[in-house]
Amino acid sequence: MRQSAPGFQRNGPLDSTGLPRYPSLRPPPPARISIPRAAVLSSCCFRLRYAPAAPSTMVGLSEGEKHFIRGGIAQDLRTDGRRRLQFRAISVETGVILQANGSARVRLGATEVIATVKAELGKPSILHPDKGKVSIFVDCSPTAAPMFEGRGSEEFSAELSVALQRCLLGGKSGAGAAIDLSSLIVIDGKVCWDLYIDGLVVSSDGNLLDALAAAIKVALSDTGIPKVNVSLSATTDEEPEVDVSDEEFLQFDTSSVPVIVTLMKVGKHYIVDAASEEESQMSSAVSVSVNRHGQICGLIKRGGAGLDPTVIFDMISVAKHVSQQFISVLDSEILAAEAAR
Amino acid sequence: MAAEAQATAVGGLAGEMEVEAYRRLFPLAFLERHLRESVRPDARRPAEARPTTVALAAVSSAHGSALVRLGDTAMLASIKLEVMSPSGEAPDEGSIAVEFHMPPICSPLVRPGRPAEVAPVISKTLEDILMSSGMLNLKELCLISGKASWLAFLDVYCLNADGSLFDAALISAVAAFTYLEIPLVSVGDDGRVFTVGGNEGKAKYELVNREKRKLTITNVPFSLTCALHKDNVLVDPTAEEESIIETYVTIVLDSSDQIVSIQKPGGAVTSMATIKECISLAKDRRRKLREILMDSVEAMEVEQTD
Amino acid sequence: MSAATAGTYSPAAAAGEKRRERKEELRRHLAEDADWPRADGRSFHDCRPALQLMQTGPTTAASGSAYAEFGKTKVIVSVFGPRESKKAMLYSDTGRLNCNVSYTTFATPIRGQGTDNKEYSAMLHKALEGAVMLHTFPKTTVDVFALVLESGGSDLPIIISCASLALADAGIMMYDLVTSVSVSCFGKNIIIDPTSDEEAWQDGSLMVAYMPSRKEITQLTLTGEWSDGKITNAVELCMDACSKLCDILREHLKDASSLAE
Repeated sequence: MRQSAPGFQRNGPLDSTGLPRYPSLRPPPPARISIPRAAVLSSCCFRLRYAPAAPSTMVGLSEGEKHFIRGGIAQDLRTDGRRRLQFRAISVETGVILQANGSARVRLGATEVIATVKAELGKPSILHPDKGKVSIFVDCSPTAAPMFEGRGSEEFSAELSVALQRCLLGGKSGAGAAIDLSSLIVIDGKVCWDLYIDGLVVSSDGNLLDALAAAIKVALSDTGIPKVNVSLSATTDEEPEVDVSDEEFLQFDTSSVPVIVTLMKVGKHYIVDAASEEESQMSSAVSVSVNRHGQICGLIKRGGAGLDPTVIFDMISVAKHVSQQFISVLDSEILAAEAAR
Repeated sequence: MAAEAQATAVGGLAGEMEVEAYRRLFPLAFLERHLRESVRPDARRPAEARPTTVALAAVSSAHGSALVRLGDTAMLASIKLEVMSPSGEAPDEGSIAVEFHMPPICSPLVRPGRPAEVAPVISKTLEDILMSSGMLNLKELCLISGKASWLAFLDVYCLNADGSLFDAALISAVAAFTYLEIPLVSVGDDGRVFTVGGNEGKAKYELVNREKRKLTITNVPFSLTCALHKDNVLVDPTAEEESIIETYVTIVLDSSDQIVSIQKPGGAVTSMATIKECISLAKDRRRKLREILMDSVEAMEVEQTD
Repeated sequence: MSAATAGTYSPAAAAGEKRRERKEELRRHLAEDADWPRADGRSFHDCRPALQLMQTGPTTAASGSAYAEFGKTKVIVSVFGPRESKKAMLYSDTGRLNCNVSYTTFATPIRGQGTDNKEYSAMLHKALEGAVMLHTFPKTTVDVFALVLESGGSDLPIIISCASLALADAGIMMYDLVTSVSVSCFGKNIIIDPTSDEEAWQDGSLMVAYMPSRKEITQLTLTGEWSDGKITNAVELCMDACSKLCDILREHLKDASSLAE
């Protein structure tokens, strides 16, 4: 992952500043006004508590800091030394919540999220008697970021939940869904598995949507659905008797679960995996959910500013490219996490 | 009198002021100046109601619906039928549930999450009037005695609030019931009732309610709201008039001009003679509204046979 | 069904089960035939007629309002303001746009609760905020309230188009009218302006909110499984329809203002 995608050359030659091309060595911030970090944070807490809104617009940065971030992105060298299309280091841990059928913790830089999958037996809906049900909800812990204190997180949690539902649950007929709903059926029209997928944001440093989708993918790969034995009397009208096995578990096929890649437009350039300071510079962003076969399974435009259609098409194709690398990194992390348990 | 002195003072101002500004700054004087000429700000006579139209079957997702316009006040009533198990006391009766909604679109005074105070009051009054007037025979809403009957959800939405909301709501509710089309249903093996559509379905399933597709509406209640200001009786007030005048009388009459209800919530003391005048105005209005409703039903039937 | 109060149920829901096979068949036809006639007689790339059925001014109590009727979908949008922001809001040198979408209890075949639709409210806000000149009304709020009288498919795009017409009727300054159109995908076929029956069985959906004169997309959402090429086709199809719808709205506004004079 630690390389930029082909076709995306860095823009301005860094050599002109006389600095060596080492990503770890950043140019000194010339326009940065030195404000004690604590002062910046406390002023931003103050503002956020009274006007909770989309957090991306609310990080308190000075003009100099903003300029520094934008300038770095234009030169393909971001404030933390990354290239534009480079993710932060990802770390994956499975089985973190024992009560759940599957769980995972994903860290992307300082962003940390937990996803859990809980399976319960339920009744299929009348309109879809041959399918199980999946619901996705996200909660933002008040300790994750100052803007999540009080009621501030409600709107944002709802936005994340809707975005994940759109990107992972596919079309009405089930095309492009992360989970094949008909695999959740136990007895047609009578008993099915209901999957409750919950995301929890533990610590927020930008790019929550991508982190949550990755955590859900890992949690699903960790999920074991108990084997169910149905007694024969179930074919009659009476309530069927179901015997849930304690020992045998069925694993999910998670190969079709997509990942979400959010491309953020800053100036003329796109960046992936933006940290919260970078998110504050966003004019608009596109979150694209892509599966292993390069099919787009969901897309949401974020931010209010309008975008030229050709820019959107370009962003989609870049996101598609980046996603394939992200999927392979995530897959190897999943294998490593399983081996570690 | 201080009020009169003020009225003449602003009367003097009137010559120098734009009409719209005068209307906003001195609403009472503006209204009284009109009433002295026996005319109202919208050019109506005091005893004249606003033009009223009824459009039936306005919403196809409902079993019965009607859009009523009373001047600028617009009211959309709709009835949806659901199946319930009747109560033990009345095994062969259905029931109705009435709700009056004021969504935020209807008035600048209503905002999301802060419902209008008058909405529940109108809801309750509407339900009381519909039940006590004897308009509906609840036995007609029975499907299978003791097992299944209809529960009619009547939802009335105010789309534009410009006064006399209750009158408009009652007209729309009555119109929706008049044109209620009960769906053909059959009973499945599981004891649940389901709708039957198309000729194929009619032949295939045993129907429960082949004859009971329309309600017989016998006694139709109509109402008239009068705003009382000094000696003037203003029929069918607009929102502007309602915001100035404090005393109202709402009279509900049934088909034989019997009084179903008289409401005068607070306001100034009113003489018996004035109430009698309101009642006689309400009688005229009832006849007019009945004609309007009949015409719209006929228009609907002509449209269907075409 | 969760929407029905305890003890009652809609007989149409019980019947829905029995009609399922027919719908499956319909879906197969839509996915496989290249020119299967749709239930309302349209071809795949025909929108429902909008010409006579978008009007301004149904709600006189509002600053501006619009009514839209596309097939069975019926929507009213009222715009209030610019008016004083809520007391709890802090000073802001740009205006605020507040959007709310709700459904009537009878909008859907099975009686609902008539509550606010938070998801659509947020989407409406995002589709419009890029078009409204917020700096022209500092310290104040413009409220855009939508009520869906009847839901017949493509609800959100119609709400968005209707809301921009209502904003124009209220005289709120905008960079451009926002119009919106959605498509459904069935197999390899793309169907524009789907009805609710079609939406219920679609493989995927894509919605575009577009400012035709500025050639900018303010909102784009997509569900289901799509290839690159199909997305491009679908977005272009939507943009074309948006431009045509925008012309209709523009004509209507011109007629309405010449009538007012």
